[in-house]
Amino acid sequence: MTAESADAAQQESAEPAAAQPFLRLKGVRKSYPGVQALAGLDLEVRPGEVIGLVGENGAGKSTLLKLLGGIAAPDGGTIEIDGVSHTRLSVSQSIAAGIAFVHQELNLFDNLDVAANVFIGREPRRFGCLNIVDTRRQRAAVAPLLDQLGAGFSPDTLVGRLSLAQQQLVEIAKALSQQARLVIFDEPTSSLPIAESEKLLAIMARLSRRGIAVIFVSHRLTEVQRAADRVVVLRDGRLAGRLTRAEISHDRLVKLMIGRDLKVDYAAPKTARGGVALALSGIRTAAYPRQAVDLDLHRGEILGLAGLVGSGRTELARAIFGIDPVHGGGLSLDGKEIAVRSASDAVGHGIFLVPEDRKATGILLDFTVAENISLPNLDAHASNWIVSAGSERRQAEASRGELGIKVPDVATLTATLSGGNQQKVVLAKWLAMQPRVIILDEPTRGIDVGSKSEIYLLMRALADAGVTILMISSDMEEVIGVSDRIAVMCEGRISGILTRAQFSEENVLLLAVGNRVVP
Amino acid sequence: MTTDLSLEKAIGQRTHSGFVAWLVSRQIFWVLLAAVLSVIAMSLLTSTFATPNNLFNVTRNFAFVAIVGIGMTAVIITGGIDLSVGSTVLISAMTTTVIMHAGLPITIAFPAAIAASLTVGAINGVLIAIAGMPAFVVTLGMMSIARSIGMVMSNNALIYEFGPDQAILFAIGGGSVRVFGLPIPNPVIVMVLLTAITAFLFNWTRWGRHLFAIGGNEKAAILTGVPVRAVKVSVYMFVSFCAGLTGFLMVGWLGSVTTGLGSGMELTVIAATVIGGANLAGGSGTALGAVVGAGLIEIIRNSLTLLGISTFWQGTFVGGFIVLAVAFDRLRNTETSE
Repeated sequence: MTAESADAAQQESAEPAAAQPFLRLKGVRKSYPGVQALAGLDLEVRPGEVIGLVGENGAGKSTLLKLLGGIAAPDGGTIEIDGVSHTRLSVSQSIAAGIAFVHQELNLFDNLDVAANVFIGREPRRFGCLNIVDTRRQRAAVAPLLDQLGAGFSPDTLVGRLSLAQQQLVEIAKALSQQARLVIFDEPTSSLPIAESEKLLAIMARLSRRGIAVIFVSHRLTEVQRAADRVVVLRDGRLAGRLTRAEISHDRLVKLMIGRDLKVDYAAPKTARGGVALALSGIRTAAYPRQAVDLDLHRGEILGLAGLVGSGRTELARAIFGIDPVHGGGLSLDGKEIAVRSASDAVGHGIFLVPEDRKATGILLDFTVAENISLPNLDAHASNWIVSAGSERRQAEASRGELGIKVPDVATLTATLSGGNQQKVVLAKWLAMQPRVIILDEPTRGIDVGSKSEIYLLMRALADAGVTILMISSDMEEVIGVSDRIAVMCEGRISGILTRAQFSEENVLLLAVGNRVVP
Repeated sequence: MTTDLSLEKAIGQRTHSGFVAWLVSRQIFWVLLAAVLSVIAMSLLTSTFATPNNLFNVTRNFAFVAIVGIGMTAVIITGGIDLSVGSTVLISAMTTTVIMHAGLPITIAFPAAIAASLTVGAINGVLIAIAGMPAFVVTLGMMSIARSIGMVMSNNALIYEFGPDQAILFAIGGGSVRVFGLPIPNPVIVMVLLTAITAFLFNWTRWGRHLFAIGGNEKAAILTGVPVRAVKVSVYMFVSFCAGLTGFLMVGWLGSVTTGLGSGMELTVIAATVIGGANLAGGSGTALGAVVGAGLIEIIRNSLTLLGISTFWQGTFVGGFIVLAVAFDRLRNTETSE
């Protein structure tokens, strides 16, 4: 968005701000066993305003959304809609009041067309008692909504054929068809390419011009800064602060979110990087079989791998780790060619992966901490096939001390640990095996700021000990703060490699969209 | 904050719950209790149950289901299923029969029977683990194929001539060993040994740990470098080995083989493992559970017969126990998740 349009948005928002609030929360409280998710929150939403809602994980954002959607009931306080106060909302009350959601994970049916998705559960009928779905009327009603949103697809397109950004438009069309008065976007841009994010921000502005209120939940502070009329910051279930458009700045947002000035500790390298440890020559992945990737990773360096979602970073990591078949090219480790056809091959060569989706692919939640740590390395704890529980325990205890895993006993089930501690368990299992290369895919996603610093320190300590680290990350601050060099991918190829002196958000983004770096 | 609390809770559970609480939380304990109570009740109610002869039969009968059940447990722990075990029993029995009928010694027939069974398991395993086909469909197909091949091998003749080693064969399958003066049927001895060995494998070896890892979260297991494919193939070979062993023992016990041998056995075996606490979604199960589950099913069957109740009621009881077992599992899960 340009400065002009930002100004325009501001002018427009100035007018409805005087209107009666559509929604007013007063002292809303909600606790879950052991957590005070919301501790007396007040919030007003006026027609046509765009509110940025930010806060760390666990600040209470999702709880707030659940209460508004009628999925959970508050323990106390009132929710007032158009001046009528409720102690709780049911799902149908929430829909009837005109509150609609566009979730991060979309609730669409891939096997149905756009019109059917928009009208799911409230299909227009015809032929009286025969109750046949009137698909023609359905399509006719959806077409103008899609036009309004500038969607370039027709109502009879199968949703499964649409891109993620287009599917979001379907969700928005659904909200419009329900005469929504408040549309809540829950991290809508987190998995969108940049150009698509821009379009979405423009659509939010358009909704707001029509008098529809928007709540925009996002971790991307720059977007919040651009799109929101005002920002509400939550911390520990309370209102940490409100900022008007003029007051919004990155630093102030961060300060409000975490309650203090935070300098994430990145730790500078102590040792110079060594020679080439892992060399990729002409690697082609299934996602981009025509692009051959060459990349040298040095001993003792942290190489950040940046790029947009879908640029082929994860696929490259999976190919190096032997999970996906390689369509050509080879790897060499310390100058020797190696064949990696399976994850066990990679592990055998000392190449390890810390996957992005920790709970789904990184860790066994119903194994104990000790069992998780020993799993890849059972040979070391076994003699004649028999696993020694004592040796396993000693290893886990050592890791616990070394990495600061906060757990009373290594026999605790991993499921009960926090995200940061689970990630440390994943790291611990590889550290116990004298790693040579560690690939970290989004190492701190969903981890609180405190644990982030600890994980960065650990990564640096490993690199200083001579381990090569490849870190895939979409978090710009993290990539720039942690990396020794940044390789940027675009459509399956390495579009450029930046050295520390060249590090800037702008340079990374330019390379990510395939442009050259400004000298 | 969430974590702190759940941690405290976890520690609390660990320290406050003693052995009794642990025991009571085990499904196998309740199944065992049901079995023991049935035995006591039957001993008091009838004069026919607690006779050496009847007990000998009961234990031998359930040993066959239990042996296959132990193998099935391994498959189910990994989140798989094998419907072809009944047909594998037939393949093994037929191989034994055909070879011995031709006058060859048992030292050739037994390895051949086991090899034939392992081949069935290897085919299942490769199709499931390497070709990535669903276990249910692969083994459903194999159930049909293996039975049909067994029928072809029989050449539609009922064989009860087993060549020079016939006496040895009958002694192995139908005989017994005296332990502390009590005659214990050989299949029961095999079952006990297999249970001990498998329990050991499950709890103390790399293989066992890998089974639970695969059943708990296959993706995480792959990314951790667990040789998932090899382990899965081995598991289908293991259950086929158990089925092969059973087939061989059954020939010796029955003295002849019909093409219906082992037909429908897969469902009884799966029922036994589920009653014994294995979770069809993978990740949990014990070797002893399958044995106890098989025992309970056989006691029910035998009791109904002795009480003069139509065997048609057997399915109602067994089915009831399956549903109860799963209900118990649900109950336990909701308790821990709260």
